[in-house]
Amino acid sequence: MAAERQPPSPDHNIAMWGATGSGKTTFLAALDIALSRADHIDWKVIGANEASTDVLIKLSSKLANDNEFPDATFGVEQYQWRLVGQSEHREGRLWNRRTVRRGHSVGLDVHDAEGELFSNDFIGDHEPMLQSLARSRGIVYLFDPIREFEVGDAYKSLDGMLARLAQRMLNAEDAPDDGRLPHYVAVCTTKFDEVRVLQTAQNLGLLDFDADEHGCPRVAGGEDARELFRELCSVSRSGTADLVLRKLTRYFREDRIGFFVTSAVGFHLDPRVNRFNPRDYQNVVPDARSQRGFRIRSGVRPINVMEPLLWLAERLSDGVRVDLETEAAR
Amino acid sequence: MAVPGEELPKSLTKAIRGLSGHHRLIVVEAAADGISAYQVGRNAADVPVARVWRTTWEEMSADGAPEKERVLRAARLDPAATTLLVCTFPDGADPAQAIAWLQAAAPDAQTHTAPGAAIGGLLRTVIADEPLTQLYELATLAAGPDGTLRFRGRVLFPVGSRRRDTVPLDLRFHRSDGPGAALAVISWADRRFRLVSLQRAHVPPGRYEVTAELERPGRVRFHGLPDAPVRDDRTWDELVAAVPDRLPPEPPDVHLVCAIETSGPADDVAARLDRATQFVRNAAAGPGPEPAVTLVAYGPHAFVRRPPPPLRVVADRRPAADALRALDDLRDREPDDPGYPRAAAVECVLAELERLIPARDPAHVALLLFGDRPPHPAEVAPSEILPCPAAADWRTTLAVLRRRPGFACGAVTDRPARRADPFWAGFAGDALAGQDAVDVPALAARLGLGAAEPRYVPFPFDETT
Repeated sequence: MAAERQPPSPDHNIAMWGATGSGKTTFLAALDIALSRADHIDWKVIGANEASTDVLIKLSSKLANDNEFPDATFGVEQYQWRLVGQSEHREGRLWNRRTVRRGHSVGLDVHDAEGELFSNDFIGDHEPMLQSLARSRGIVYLFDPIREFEVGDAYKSLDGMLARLAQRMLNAEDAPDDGRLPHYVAVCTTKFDEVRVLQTAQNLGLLDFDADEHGCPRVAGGEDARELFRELCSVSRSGTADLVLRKLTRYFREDRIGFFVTSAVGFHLDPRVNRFNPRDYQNVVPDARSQRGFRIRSGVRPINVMEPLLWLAERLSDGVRVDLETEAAR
Repeated sequence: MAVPGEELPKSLTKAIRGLSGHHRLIVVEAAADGISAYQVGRNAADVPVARVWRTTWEEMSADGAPEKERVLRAARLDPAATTLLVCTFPDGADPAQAIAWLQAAAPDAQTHTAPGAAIGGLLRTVIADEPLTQLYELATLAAGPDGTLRFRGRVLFPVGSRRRDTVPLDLRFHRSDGPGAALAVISWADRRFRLVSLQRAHVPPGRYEVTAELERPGRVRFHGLPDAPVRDDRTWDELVAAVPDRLPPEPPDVHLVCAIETSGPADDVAARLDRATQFVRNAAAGPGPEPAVTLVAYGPHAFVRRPPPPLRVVADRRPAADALRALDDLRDREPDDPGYPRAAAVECVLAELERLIPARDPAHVALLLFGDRPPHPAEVAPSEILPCPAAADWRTTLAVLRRRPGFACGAVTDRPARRADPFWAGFAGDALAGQDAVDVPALAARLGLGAAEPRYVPFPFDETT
């Protein structure tokens, strides 16, 4: 049997981080859909090997075609994907300036495990995840506010792994002088389509609405997203969610932390007018016949799923410019 | 004393017609087997009535031959009575001997020889052919201007009426108690009435075209009722005592609406249908008018691209019997898919009923829900139950329905009432029961399906204009 041909190494790596059940797999399944839906973004996600490609196809198909959420993770799963795209750059000086297109490949490593891989209590092998985080310079950190309200394990899932990562990287000879980890971190508050999350954003006056034909609500990245994250941390079941932000700012440079409010499935649209309806927008329906007990009501319209990754790609790849504002407004 | 040339029937007719007061007619028949003594008189209603005593020759004999004393005793002769002697077996020695002794004992008696005649039947015919000597009326009730009930006689047959005379009647019957409605024929004489005959019949409330036929004096037959009248043993006093002072208020027409959640586990659906059946039966058996029944089968909304309708009106204001058949049909069907687990389209049921039931419907509308799941909210709610796709708002619709006079609502839930979703208590108030503890009559009464005051009226009302 011929050995599988390995693709060229990516320019950079991005790791996914979040408590088990925080929706990492769903987020990634929605990424392919989000990139496909975007008209003005020339990025795509591909598998780095056959197994990862199979998983990518399966996850996206399940979400987009079957309107079902990906199956829960069993055992330990590792996917290696590539975020591949082009960016335009101005090069040259004065009379010689010109626009050139440059290709980029960003590795997207996903480690997930049944149980609490990130938890202090996890008794399995942390090493692959640790290696992935150490190798990456971008982290997508998923914060599930509903899970935090009901379970409250966000801090528990962050704390131990962060300590191990810091031990490995900050004790190294090439450790940064400022004592901070070198990663860019996209903190993603997920499940924006849930009633409680949307209403919290509405109560805080953080809602903006897309100017496109669907008119879906959105919370702008940056300060607004950070405020919503902070507010949702305050209703943690364990009361420890506020430590998440403190911990992140203690271990990462604050100017390298970005905040996003995301939804993998997006909102249900009123089928009569194909627009967001504030009276009826829930897109997740309990369904006893679905393996996860839920299904998607009327199609997947991811919100702020590709934006955190492109934001990271922009930060990691010098000169990469993705007009996220334009994309977000569309 | 023989009366040559006068036929026996004519003699009997003449003699009976001449009866009055306490005067009696004695007809003694000397027949082949013995003596029959018929005593004919008029009762208090001036109706000729006959009694008969029979004595065989053996009973009147000693040593193989009839004894005179015994024959006279068997004949029950009465000096004050008119007497007719009839020998129907002139060839027999015993009858001839008896007639001879009787003629001697009652020399004024007419004597007839009528071989083979059946005196009993002849007497019945003669009596039946007698014209009425008193006015016959049917005892009916009428409500006065103040609502009080009074007896009013409906003339049936005037004096001189004969058998087979008929008279049409237009009678309204209200619900009567166990023995049924009383058909009392009375006669009038000297400003006093007498009870001529009393019959009873189980007649459902309503108006009937009845024909009264004079079968004979003292007996009136009534045709056209769903139940053939039979003799009534109640006394007049009992009947009068059973008449209410005034007619209770007319119960309104009842419109029973049963909305049944027909999706979910088969056992649960079957239990709901069984309960609905009990309520329909109970309402139909109640003292009020027969209810009109509307049945709605409903389930949850399906949040799919082309959702099926969440409800079906399977019977719209149908008689109870039709509704019971529709419930049977529902029972024979496979239950609908459980679908969305947290709510069912109760709000759409209410919206449909608001549409179906006219705002000025004079009927008393009793809505009963049989289900488990609460309604879908009209819009996104803290419960996170998905909103009704049609944006139906159960609170608004229920408020509209409740403002309608005569509207009442209740519910039977799968779970015990205290464990049911809070919606149910708000919807049904104290007319809420769990499947495990439904007192059907009590809950029906709370919904106004059973008249609190029984509306028993033993006599009919004359509706003849």
